[in-house]
Amino acid sequence: MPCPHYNRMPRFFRNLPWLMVPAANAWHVMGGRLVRLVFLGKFGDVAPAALAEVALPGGVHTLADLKEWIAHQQPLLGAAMNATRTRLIVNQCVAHDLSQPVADGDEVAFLPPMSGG
Amino acid sequence: MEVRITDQAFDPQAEVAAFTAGRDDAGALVSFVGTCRAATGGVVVNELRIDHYPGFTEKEIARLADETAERFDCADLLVVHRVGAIRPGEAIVLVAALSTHRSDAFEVVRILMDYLKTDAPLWKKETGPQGARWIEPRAEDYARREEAEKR
Repeated sequence: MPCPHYNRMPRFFRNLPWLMVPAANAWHVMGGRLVRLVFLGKFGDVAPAALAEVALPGGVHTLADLKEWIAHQQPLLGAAMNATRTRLIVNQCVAHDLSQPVADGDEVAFLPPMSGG
Repeated sequence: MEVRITDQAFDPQAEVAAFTAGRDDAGALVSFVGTCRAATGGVVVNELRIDHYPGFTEKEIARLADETAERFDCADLLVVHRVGAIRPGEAIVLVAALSTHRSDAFEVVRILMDYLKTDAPLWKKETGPQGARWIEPRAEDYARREEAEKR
């Protein structure tokens, strides 16, 4: 078996001839889960464009993990998010619980306190 | 009920005229227009920029408008909110309510404005000669929102 995530791999990767195992491993290295990240307001000022779409590493399972991972990658952004009340929106719905899992294809938005009107 | 987010300058008078055209079912119209100030607390503002989250912002403002209208006798409600770059003197937000009697129209506009200040997914950034700063709701905005909840 090319990697521990063999069973969760898209069929295309599983059906690759064994000679092409490195390609399947590449999918695993990518984490297998692509998520879109949106940083609004002042978070957008410190978030690099490279964070718009990221492949999640294996250890990131929940929104709390994701937030921690981002803070580790981008300390400035992490500090900005921890200094204020940050709301998370997953696929346009408010996330009330940071233990919510993050899935492939999710769009996760980080919202600082709002100031409309 | 109509909620519109626009990155184009709008004419509040024309919006209200179109909103009330042919309406003979309501006895009261209350409208509020928020405009961009040229200075805030002595700090000059050259440009106001409002960031939004496409899709989510519209959905959330529509929800706030629905919830507010439902609490009162409100025949119709219009919300127009600017996003993007806004110059001093231009309208930022228009809220207009039609109702049978004046008290409901006043309340709907006042309460919805209180909600928009703290709960609408919009982020204001003022830019002037002294640099740029993001605006966050003031303590009094949160206090007004608490009050709005009780009314």
